[in-house]
Amino acid sequence: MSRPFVAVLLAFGVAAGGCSKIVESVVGANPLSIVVPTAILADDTVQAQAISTHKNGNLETVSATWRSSDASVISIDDRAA
Amino acid sequence: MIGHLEGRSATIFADYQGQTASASVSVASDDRRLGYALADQPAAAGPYSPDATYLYNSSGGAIQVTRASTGVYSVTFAGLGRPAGGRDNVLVTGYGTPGVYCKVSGVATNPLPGWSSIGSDLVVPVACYAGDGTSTDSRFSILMIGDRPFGASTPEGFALTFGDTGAVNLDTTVTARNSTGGHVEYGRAAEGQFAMSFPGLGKASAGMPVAIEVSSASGSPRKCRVIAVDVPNDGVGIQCTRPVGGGLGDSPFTLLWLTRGRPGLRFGFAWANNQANTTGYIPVPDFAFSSSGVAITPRRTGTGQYVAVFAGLGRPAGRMENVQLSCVGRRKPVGLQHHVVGQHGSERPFCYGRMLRPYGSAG
Repeated sequence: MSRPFVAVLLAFGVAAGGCSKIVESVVGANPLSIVVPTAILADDTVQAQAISTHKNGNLETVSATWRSSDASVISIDDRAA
Repeated sequence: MIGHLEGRSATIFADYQGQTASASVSVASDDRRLGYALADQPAAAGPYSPDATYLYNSSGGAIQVTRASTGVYSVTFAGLGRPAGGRDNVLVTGYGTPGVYCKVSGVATNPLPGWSSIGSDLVVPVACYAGDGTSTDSRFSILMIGDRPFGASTPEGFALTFGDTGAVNLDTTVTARNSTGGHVEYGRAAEGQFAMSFPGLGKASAGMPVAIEVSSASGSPRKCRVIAVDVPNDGVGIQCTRPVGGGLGDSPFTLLWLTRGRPGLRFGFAWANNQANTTGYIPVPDFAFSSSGVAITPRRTGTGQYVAVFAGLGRPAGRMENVQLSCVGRRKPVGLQHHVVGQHGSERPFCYGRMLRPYGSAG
């Protein structure tokens, strides 16, 4: 299959960054919101995102510091942001 | 983040430049939903129950098909509504009528394409079209899967896209999943040309064959196909076209990346990459697998028609099965469609163009 073509497409997709399309939960007012599902399965790993809202209204996915109120229930790994 | 204790909740915090945001997240039980059917009464207003031979619902509930108008249907999987923490994917393939294709559609009450969890049920809108894009009645095959029907450790990814014109991560949608916990990345390169990436899934899939299924998912007659797969780099290229003229056109789509089926049950898939071979050949090993361990042999039987024999995967008495097709390769002239016109024993899916065929089974 066409590896160069998909490489170009993927480069586009990754470089452009972006935010989640449909969110199950958006909590927090400007300038920081997080996008996480309201529930995840046991033993499942899910990405969370932190989104900062600029004064001009633009959204930016940012590298936040993540923590959990109870790591025995939900823990944070280094791919959380 | 990783869920650990079922039935419990924790608050997740993000700290950034003096700001803190938080959300409560609960940990839910497993999601091994699986359902499929062959809708075999295209003209029946319904609701009707499809042929039990090709029907399975892991909840034990019914599957019913209702026809709203010409070529417009809905399929209700009773008891397969999305549980807390669950995610799902649906694929649809036209069946039986040459030149006709079917797909996941949209509903008037929802501006986004795709299926809905309504109460305890999953409801899927389906639309079927003739080659010129006009609505037409048709039989179709439909498959729905939950978050991890093939086991928690099975490499798997899926997504439903929503027609974004930029790049987005779909991670938190309830219709996207990357079993490795990586992002589910979507990008639009140009009109009708898209890329998906499931970081980590290529590495997790290393050493095992991979099947990729793609189908347009919208209320328009546009079609989508796989045009490139880059397993080591977790990527899939997708192209969507208009029904008349075959020109590129944007469309939401549904995609499934899978590596195996339910443990101990029949499963097979293949990318039939030789369009001209009429005697039978061995498909690309990186994209072919049969739980029987015996050869898969596609061949061309006529213009735009093919058969793939999955030796040893014949349906045992009393068991059920489902077949899905997805065309692979660059756009073809008008009339390129994908459909199944036969499904007996271990062979006879037909397709215009090359095909990739996962083969789901309940037993």
